[in-house]
Amino acid sequence: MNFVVKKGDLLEEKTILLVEDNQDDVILTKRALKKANILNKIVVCSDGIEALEYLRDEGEFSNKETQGYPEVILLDLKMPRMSGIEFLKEIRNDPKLRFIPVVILTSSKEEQDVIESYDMGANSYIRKPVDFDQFVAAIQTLGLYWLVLNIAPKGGT
Amino acid sequence: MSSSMEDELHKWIRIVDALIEWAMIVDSNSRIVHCNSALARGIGVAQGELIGLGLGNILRFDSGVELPITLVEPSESIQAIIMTREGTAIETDIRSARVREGYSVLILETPKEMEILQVLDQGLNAAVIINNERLIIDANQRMVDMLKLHSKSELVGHDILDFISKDHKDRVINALEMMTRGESDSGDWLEMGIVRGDGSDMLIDMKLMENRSPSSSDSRLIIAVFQDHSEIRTALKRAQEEIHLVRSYLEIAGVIFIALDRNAKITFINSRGCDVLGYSYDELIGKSWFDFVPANAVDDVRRMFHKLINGKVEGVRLRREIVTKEMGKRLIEWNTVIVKDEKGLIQGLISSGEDITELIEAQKKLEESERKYRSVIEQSLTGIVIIANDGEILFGNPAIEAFLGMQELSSPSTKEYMQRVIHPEDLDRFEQFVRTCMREGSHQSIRIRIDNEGRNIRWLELIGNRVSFLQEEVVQIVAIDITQNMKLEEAMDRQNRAIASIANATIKLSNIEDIGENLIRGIVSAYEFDGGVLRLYNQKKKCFEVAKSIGMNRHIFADKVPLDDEMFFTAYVARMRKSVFSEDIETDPEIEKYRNRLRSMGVRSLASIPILDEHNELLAILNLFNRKPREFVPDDKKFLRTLERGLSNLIQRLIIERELILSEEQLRRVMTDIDEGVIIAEFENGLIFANDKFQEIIGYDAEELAKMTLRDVIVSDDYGLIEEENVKRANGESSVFKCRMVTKNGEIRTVRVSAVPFRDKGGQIIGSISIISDLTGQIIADEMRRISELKFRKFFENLPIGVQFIEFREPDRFFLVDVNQAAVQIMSEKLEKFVGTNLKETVPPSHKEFLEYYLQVIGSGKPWHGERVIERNGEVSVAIESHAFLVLPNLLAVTVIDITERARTRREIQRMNEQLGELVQFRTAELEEANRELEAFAYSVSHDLRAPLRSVDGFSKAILEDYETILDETGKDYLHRLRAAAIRMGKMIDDILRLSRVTRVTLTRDKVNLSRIVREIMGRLQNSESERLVNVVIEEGAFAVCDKRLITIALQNLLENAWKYTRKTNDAVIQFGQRDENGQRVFFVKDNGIGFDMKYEDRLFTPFQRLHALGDFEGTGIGLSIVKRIINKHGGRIWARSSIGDGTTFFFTLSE
Repeated sequence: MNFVVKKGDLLEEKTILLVEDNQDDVILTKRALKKANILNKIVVCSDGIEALEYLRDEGEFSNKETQGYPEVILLDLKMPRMSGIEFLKEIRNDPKLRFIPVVILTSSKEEQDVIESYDMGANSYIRKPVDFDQFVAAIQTLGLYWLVLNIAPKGGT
Repeated sequence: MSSSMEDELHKWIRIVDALIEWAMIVDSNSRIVHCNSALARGIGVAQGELIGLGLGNILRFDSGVELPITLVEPSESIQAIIMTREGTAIETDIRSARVREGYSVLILETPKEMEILQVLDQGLNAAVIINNERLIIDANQRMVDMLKLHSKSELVGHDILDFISKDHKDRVINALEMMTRGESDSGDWLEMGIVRGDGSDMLIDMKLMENRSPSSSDSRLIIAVFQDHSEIRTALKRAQEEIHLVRSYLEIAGVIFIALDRNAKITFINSRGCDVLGYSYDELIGKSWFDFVPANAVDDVRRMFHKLINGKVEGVRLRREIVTKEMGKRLIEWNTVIVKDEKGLIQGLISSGEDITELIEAQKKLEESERKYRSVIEQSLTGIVIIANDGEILFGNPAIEAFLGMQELSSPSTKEYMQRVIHPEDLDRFEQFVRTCMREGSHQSIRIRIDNEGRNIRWLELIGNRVSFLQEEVVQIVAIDITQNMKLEEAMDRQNRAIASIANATIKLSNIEDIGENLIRGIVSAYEFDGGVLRLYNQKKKCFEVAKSIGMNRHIFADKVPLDDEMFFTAYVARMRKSVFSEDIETDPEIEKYRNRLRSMGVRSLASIPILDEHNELLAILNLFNRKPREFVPDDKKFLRTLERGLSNLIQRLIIERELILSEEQLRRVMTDIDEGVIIAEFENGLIFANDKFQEIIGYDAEELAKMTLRDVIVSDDYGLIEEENVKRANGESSVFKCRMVTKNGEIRTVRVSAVPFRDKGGQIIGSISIISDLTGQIIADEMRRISELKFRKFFENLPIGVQFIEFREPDRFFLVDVNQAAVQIMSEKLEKFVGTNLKETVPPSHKEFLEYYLQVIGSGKPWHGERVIERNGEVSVAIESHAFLVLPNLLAVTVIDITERARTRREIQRMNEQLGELVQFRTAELEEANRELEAFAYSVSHDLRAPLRSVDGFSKAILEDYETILDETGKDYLHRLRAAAIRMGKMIDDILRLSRVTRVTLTRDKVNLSRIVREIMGRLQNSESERLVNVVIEEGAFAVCDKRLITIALQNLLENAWKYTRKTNDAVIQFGQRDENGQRVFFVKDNGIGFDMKYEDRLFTPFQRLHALGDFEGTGIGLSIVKRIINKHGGRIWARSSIGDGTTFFFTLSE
């Protein structure tokens, strides 16, 4: 079967949560997603704490408009306040959040990070290449898999 | 009345009284003068009550009868009715007889039943009279009493069955019916239960008798008589038994009866007498008795006859022989009494005689066997078995059955069973024993073991002899269970047997003290003596010696009594050769001569019995005494006299045993004096005797040895030798040999054995007598001599290495046999003192561990080596290296080398190493810290350094895309360069991480086929640039023990380099191989690429150093650094040989 991702194929209500502290990376990731024709709503949180508040409708997100949970979380590992691994541990222990697919998107290729991530329940691990072209290619594959092919549990329950 | 008349009257009164009929005497006035007791009782009055009454007062007559009654004819009678006191009218016929002077005797004929009852009344039995309807007509007083009734009226008129118990009523009915049918007039006695007035029961015998009245046949009367027969029956039975006994006695006894007149002529002889003499009765009657007496006894018999016939002797009991018709002699025991007539004159003699010829013969035999048997039988006879000629068991008493653990010994399978229960080793002996008993007839004895499946082995002593049993020659065996005594007895008996045998003794020993003591004690207590002395006669010294005394202080009588010394009573008895009894020595003239002496010993009465053998030779004298006068009844004397002969066997044995004891003592002395061990061993029983010296050598005492076999004290390797030697002994040879024995404490002693055959009393060789000399010390010397014979001694002495020879002895002892001078110097001056000692006991505890090692060497045969370092104040004082190895199976050589210097140096190095170790440890800690920092750095590099590069690249790309139209070509070029630089830096970072990872990884070494890895890598490279033609030469079979993952990375880098730098080479050749260099395996990767200048060699393996322009060859310059890291990590080395244009060869080693 041949999947060709076209504009509008991916439903807008399928939110992507990007947890990333580096603003350069946020811009570049958004750009890569866009270039890969992934037009879903992208919510960005700059660290684990903020991301948890978003998911739990807490803090500044207590009155947020969109309901439900993101279709996929793109998670950086090295972040201030709460690292990616810690965040992952939190949501995997939260009955409401535990089924949200998490894709680790990081610069590290260290074995210990990879193992730890999968150990904590990461669904996928992608190393951000320096070459932007390669990055776009990776994001495209990621979006196709997690946003189109994968069937996530509804309501996160 | 005249006196004669009075007499007449009294006479009649007496006659009347004697009558059982009712009778009375009346005078002419019909007045009753006398009535007899029958009449008085019959009508229930007292005899005197009727006297003086008129006849009419008691009788009523039919009309026409006038008084006085006068009857002329005796057959005539007058009917009348007589009233009893109770008012019963009894019909009677009266007859009369005129006496004289007007007196008449009237006899009242009473009804029959009255008559019977009268009879019964006088009898002892209870009785009733019943009629045909079983109704009781009358009963006597005894019946009334027996039934516990008050008067007869309670019985009369009742059915007899009313008084018979329920169970027996039928019996009465049947008996009556039988009578009615006329089958019998009187029945048998029937046991009958009767019911009494008080309700109690009684068992009694009843007999029914019919009495038909002669006058009227139909008026049948039946009398039931009751009698308690239980006593009668018992009495009868007893009487019958007595009769039977008497009869049987007479039958069995077969007594001879003979009567002689004053001239000794036979006037009577019974058939038994005729049988014994063999003559007929007629032949004997009238013959002189002396004709039947043996000639040599005639005078004697004649004398006795005259004594009797002349009244000098009342009667006599004696044994005399008679001569039969066939001139045979029979011994008769006669009991003769004299016969007197009524005037007291002696008429003749009557003799009753018993033929005791066979009896005497039997008794003789019995006594003979009894003497031998007695002690056995009295003490412990328990089992008897009789075995037939064919070996079949005919009889076994319960005791033997118990011994053998079987039942029904005489069942057919018992022969086999017996064979099964007897211990296999004893079976042959047992069968031999039975045969010997059968053949010899005399007593034989044997000890056998009973091994009855699962039960403990029991010892039986069997004593057998041949006897006649049911007209068959059989072997009778008496069995005594001696299991209990066997252990002690076995030891004692074996020892005794040995000594007895040496002394050529002819009989077996037992405890003579006990025999003597038991003998005297038995007699003293049985015959109530106060004490006794048994003196044995010493034939050589011709005197009596005390064997045993009871109840008397031994010091008060002489130890020895010479036979001819007349002052001794014992000597007197000995000369007399007969027993002397004295009831009181104070009054006994026979004792007079010895009175004072006996008195002084407190003797008042005595019995002295000489004990004689079959040739009347004196054996001993048994003196028995009391402190008070006593009486000896003839039976006592008789028995005590029997001891004269009866004890001879016992005493003979005692004497022989006494002699044996002496020889045993002598023998013991001799054996003890010998400073050599002496043992006697039987082939079958093993060790039976060991003297003190041997016990000293072997360490076991006699008691322990008695329980052991020879094998227990012989070293197992020498068993064969002993067997061989035993064969020599069995063939009667003597020999001297050496063997090894194990002492009680496990020491092995080599002994010289001088052995001679050991014979039993029959001369049969049954074992060996050995003299044992301990050679252990000598043997060690011999061993050393042997070593020196090997010309080792000199070498040994001069050896610079210390040598000790240590002999091992079971189980764990080590004797220092020899040491050389070097050993003494190296170890200690004291070492020489230990030579010849058991090191186990002599070396200090700190050295004992060596003995353990030596034991291992002995056990395994493998050498041992070890060191011993003695320190003082932390410095090495002495250090010795030892090697222990076997030179002979039991001989260890232990070499000692002084390694003090070596040990000191080693100690120094060790100390330095320890310091170095500390340093290394410190450095390692520093290094580890640095490594951790490096790791943290590498980690952060992988994250933090890459992110800015991504930004540079990403935004450069964004500018190029989003602002393409604004930028000129130069601007675009710059942005492209920016991106390229960023990406390259990303790669460098990755390379740095790889390098860091290689350093951090832990090695896992396996055997790796390097050739195969090279082939795979080259294959991949070839595939990636398939247009290139490279000659790849791979040497097969290059193996190395290394980390496969890391070596793959290293080879990949080297091969990629070669691949890379031969890109511009025509006929490119890449080669992998291995070679040995100074014994080290060296691998190489060779190319014929561009090569490099060797002056830059030192930069080659530095990270990021490149020897070529980036433009010519791609790469970050980290590859060889990684290779070097990997090779170094394996403890190997890497180097390169190269020249520009000729290519490069990388060499590396991998430490294995």
